Amino acid sequence: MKRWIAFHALLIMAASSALAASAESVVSRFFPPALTVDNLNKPVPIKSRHYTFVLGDLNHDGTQLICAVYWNERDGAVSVLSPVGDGSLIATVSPADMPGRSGKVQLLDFDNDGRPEIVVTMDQLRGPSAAWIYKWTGAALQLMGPTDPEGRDAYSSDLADPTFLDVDGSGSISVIDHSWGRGPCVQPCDEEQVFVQYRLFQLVNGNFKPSGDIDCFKQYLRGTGAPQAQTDSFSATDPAAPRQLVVVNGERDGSARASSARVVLNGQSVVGSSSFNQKVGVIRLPVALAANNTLTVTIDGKPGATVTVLLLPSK
Amino acid sequence: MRHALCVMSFAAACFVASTLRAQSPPVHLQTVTVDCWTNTPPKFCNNAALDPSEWDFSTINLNTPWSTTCTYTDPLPQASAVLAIQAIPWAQYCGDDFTTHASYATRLDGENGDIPAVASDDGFHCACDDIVGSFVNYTGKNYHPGDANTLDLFGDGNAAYSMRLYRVDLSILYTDAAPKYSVQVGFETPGTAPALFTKVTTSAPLTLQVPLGAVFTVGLQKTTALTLIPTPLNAIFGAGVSTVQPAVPLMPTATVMPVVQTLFADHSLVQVDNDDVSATKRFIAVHFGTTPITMTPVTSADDPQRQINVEVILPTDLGTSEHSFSDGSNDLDLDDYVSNVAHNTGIPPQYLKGQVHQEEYLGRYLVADNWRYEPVGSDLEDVSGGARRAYTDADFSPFRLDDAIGVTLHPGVQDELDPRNVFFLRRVDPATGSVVDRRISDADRGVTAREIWDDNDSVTGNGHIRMNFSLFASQAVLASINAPNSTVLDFVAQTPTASSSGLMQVMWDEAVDDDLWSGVTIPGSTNPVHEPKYVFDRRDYINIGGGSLQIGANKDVQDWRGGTVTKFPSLDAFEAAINLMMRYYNFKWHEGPVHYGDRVVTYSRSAGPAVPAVPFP
Repeated sequence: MKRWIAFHALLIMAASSALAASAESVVSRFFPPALTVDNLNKPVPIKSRHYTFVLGDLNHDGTQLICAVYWNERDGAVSVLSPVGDGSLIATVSPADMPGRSGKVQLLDFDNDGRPEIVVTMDQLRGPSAAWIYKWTGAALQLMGPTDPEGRDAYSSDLADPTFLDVDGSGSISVIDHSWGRGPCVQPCDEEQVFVQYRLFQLVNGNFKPSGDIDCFKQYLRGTGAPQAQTDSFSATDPAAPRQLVVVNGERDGSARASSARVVLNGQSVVGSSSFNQKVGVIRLPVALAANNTLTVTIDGKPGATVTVLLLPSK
Repeated sequence: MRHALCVMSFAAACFVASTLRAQSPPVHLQTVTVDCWTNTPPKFCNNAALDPSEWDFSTINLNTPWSTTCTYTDPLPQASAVLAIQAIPWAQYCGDDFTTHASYATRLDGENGDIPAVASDDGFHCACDDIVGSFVNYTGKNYHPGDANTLDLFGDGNAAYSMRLYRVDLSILYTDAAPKYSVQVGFETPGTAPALFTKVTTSAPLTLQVPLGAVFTVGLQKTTALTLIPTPLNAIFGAGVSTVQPAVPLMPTATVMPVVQTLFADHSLVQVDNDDVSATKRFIAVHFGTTPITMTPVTSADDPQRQINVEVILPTDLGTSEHSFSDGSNDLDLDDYVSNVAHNTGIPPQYLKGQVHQEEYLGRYLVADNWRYEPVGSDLEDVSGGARRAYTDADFSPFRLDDAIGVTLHPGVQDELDPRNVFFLRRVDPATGSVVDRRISDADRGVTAREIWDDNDSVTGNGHIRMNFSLFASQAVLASINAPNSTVLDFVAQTPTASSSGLMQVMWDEAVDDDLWSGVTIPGSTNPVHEPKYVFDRRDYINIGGGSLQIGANKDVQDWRGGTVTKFPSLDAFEAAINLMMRYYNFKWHEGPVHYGDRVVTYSRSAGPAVPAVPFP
């Protein structure tokens, strides 16, 4: 129960620079009061008060601001602070529903406008992590959605275990949410019943809106040794509906791209190795599905390359 | 007289039957003999064989205006309300063969009788066996129970001859005049009509026994002599200071109390209703103990305040099924176990039992050694990988496999190594040189997460269970696991600590939190012992402070977001807070729009405390 102190101290040290060193004192000084008492109004021990932060040019003006996530092993909060001088708190939100045993914060430019958004992730002891995506307005934090319909305030996010991908090659980042639950055993009770759902959210007027469920979402990693085909199967609930196959090559920053890969859907080659090179980020093409489908991906080239395949509803 | 008796028997029965109501309060019948009419001596028909011969009488001449008055003291309690009075004046008309009867008027406390009384001759002309009564009714509106009353008989003098007046028998129907106040309790079970119980209450406090977790309403009712129907009274309700029992052992055989976290610590009841003046007020029982509730009617200054002392007791049952579970050696009373933890935490037992149901795993709903290994979410990301607690955390490292084998985890000892033996693995049999697909045994060493993953994630048949580990992993992690020649899972599976155990599927991370579990007390050990096996809900472990239920419920309390309030405007508001608290146990668990808290509440519907047979002891 004391482990997060050491763990995050290490994180902070790893992220430190001369500026960050003073930034940490600013972050520490502005620990949100809301997190200093627990849900029964008992003081939260110092050992249970944690934070981590990143620095970023949130305003796209060359000025570094601090984005910090705080937590007390039960609830979290996020703040934007200025490291200038003695430091100051610019904005903070303590959502009513931001539970988790540990927090993370990262900056991603979802709308490709040069101003990064703030992603806060709270790991859960059980189940998928929860995530919040905030737009920085210059003075305040705004949840970009999707919002939890049962949340208690405007900062309640409906994202779980998100993956951030540029699925249309536009530079704008979409969100794929992964939620799941377990159900009672079904006789003969030889399988754990799991309900899995992947949802796609895309930016519409600055907010993340549902863009439909995903039939298939798989990531593949080029392992060591000779290239090997990796095969998955999946079912489609409405196979007659038009679909598009999206193949994302590597990571958002262009790293881990494959120089060559092959995608075979239901025995038909849909993406050949000639379609791939390290300059290709996203490949999209219409496909037809069956009720039960087989997807085979073979990544050639260097180990460490990744290919992500999605089957989305056609727009 | 023979006729009169016969008629009187019938008439009295009809009189009572037509006046009595089914409702309380009870109606009483009092007979009173009014007799101011004597002629002594001699008595009429002295020496006659018939009883009436003993009756005294007065002779009244009817051919001149006449009246006779009798004042008597009524034997009824003064605090009575008369509902109706029937009079039988016993008289005898001394006529002739042609003049057979005479009528006369009566008045009781100034109230005229409904019909004239009649004296009949019957052809015997005042012979000894010819006394006849007639029936006259009064409402009794002027009657003075328990006090002096006056009966007047009078005639206008237009009749011939005379009559003999013997006496008047009164049959008085009455009730206790003071309004009766009663307490009505309604036990609410979702989907069914409330079970109602009523008890008359006096100025002395009335004891009401309700089972822990009961949702119930209380109200005050008033029954008056006029209405006979209980009428709810609008009142101000006030819950007084509770006397809450201390935390209780989890089982009758338990000798060690675990640490407990508590909601509503000083309240055995939580009001789940507004504070408005109303006829009823709803509460939910959250702790064993007693809470006085005063009900102050606002309807009339005459309506007194009443008090009930609500005693919260152990439910006889929670729901209609699954009242016990097996720990392999013993059948344990699940409902009592849950109820005791519910009392300790303040979480109503139906929600805890619903949560136990929600933590069902592979049909192992009520199995003490319910257990699940988390190769990715826990082991890869936190125990062997990530923070590497198996190596860096003093709460984890003593149980690190394989180093702990023979030290803290002993082959052959129940619940130490053997939980992992539910899994299969494929290894070369040294005797044959062939790969054998078999269950893990305590003798196996170096069992990796990869081995467990590969042979238990999606393999079916021959006793395999598809654990579907892969469905819980993020795609990035899954890609790293599935990559050819991946070594991501090539670490020794930390099955004792990267797992969840017991009815509440408690994670070891939680079990090492001193706020959630204080460990077990073992003879010969001076300090509490924390070992993963004691999280299982076996009786022997519970007896010494173990078991998952209290730990998991303590975690719930930590996740409570309702603050220190002890009053909610509605049951829905209370249940929303419970729902949210439960949701935090597994915050992003979802089945479509249904989340963990929703599911627990749904399951709680089948686990409500049984309605007591006798709530007013």
